[in-house]
Parts: sequence; structure tokens; C-alpha cells
Amino acid sequence: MCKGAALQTLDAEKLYQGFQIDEKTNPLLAVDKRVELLRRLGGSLLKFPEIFGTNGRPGRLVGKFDCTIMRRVGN
Amino acid sequence: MNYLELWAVLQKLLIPIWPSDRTHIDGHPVGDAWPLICLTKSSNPSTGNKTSAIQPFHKLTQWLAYSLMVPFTRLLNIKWHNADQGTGLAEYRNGGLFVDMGVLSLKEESRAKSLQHSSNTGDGLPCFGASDDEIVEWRAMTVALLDKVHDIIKSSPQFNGVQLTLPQVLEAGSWKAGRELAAEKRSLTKSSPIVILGDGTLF
Repeated sequence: MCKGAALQTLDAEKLYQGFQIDEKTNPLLAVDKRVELLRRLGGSLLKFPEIFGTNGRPGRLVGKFDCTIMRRVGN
Repeated sequence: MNYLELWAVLQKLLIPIWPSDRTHIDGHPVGDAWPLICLTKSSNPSTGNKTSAIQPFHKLTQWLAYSLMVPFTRLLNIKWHNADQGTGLAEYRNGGLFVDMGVLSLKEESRAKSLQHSSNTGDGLPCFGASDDEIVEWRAMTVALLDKVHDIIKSSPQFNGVQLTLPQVLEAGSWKAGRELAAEKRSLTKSSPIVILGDGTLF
């Protein structure tokens, strides 16, 4: 489950694991910069609770546009 | 749903996250948007404002918006208004396509300048920083040329009347072709023909 608070504390090791990054077979450029970006995303999500809720969940973007959609997908 | 509302939310969320050395106007970060010298030259100094010489791309945010629209449409049956307000994506596969096809080429003085870069890739490819005018101009031309490509495809009899949207043209056309040409011409690295010395947040 993706939450702003968790994104804020993301580290490179978690990104490596999650994306199955391997220097030889599946490399990813600039991992540290990407981790930093994701951490800042986590912080930004938490700054807009009216859209993403107090947990900063990106999926709540759906509810921003239509409450009926949120009820249908059983958020 | 209105694409412009999705756009506004994504910008609100994402503008603050880009590196702090990105373009600022009056102290406000403006994201993936950069000064472009030819815009400075063409804008009227008396009527132009602080933004008239800035070329916006917002490439990653637009890519995200295009991507998000797909599950909204397919899973939630949402119809989008103003879906044509997005631009082509100013990224290195689309841009590389036009260079590899000979539509765009670096001026000699720019090529010479790139060779002086201390962190030259070593494989002879020209490289520049993300804010260098060559890169901003390359990316801007890419956006404009992608519209031209889209127009040509829309009026072509080859597609049996199927009207492709711009993101469809990117995904199945220009981006794919850009990758394939890069793999063909630079099989070891599959690199784009012009290298952006990036910090991993632009591409």
C-alpha cells in the first residue's frame, strides 16, 4: 500500500528490491536521485490531505474527481 | 472528467518535488521549464513578461497524466474532456528519432562546445547539461515536430480511418521508433544520439 509517510522514508535498498535492480542484468541509472525524488513525493502527498487523505495515499486522486467513483471501487 | 483538472492536481503535487536547482521565477519553482535563447530574441522586451522566454515541457508530469488516463478510461469508464491539451513528450527517444532520421542536427559550434565538456561520455556522442540551450531547443523542436508527425498520421490513408491520439502515436510510433533506431545505430549502449548529463530526474 503506497502512503506518503512510507515514501518519505524510502531508501535505495527498497527501490533496488522493488524494481529487481541488478547492476549487470537490470541496471537503473541514478538510483539515489530517484529515491530522493520519491521521498519528496511522499512529503508532498502529505501536504495535501484534502486530496490524498491524512496518510497521503496517491490512489485517493480518484476520489478528488468523483465521490461516486470512490464508493464504487470500495475505497 | 476534465484533463485540465487532472493536470492542475498533478502540477500542484509535483512542482515542489523537483530538485531545488531547477528554474525559478520570482522565487517560485516552475518545474521542467527552461530559458530558451531564441524565445528571448523573439519576445518583445516591452510587452514580454518573465515567462515569455521560458519553454515549458513538464515531460514527466505529462507522461504520468497520459498514463493515469488509461486506467481511468478502461477500469472506471471515465470519458475525458480536453484530452487533446497535452503536448508531445520532450524526451530522448522521441527527440533522438528526429536526430537519427536527420530531421534535426547539431550546429557545428554546438558540437565543438560539447567536446569540451569534462564529462564527455567517451563514445564521441555530443553531451550537454539539461539547462544548456542545445538541449532546451532540441526538446522544444521535438514537441513541435511530434505535432507535425501526428498531423501527417491523421491525414494519412494508411490507417483505415483509425484516428490515433497523440499519446498513441508516441507509444506505438515515435518513442518506439526512437528506441529501435538507437539500438540499431549504437548497438552497444543503445544511447540516444545526444546525451543529456542528467541527474536522473529529467530524461
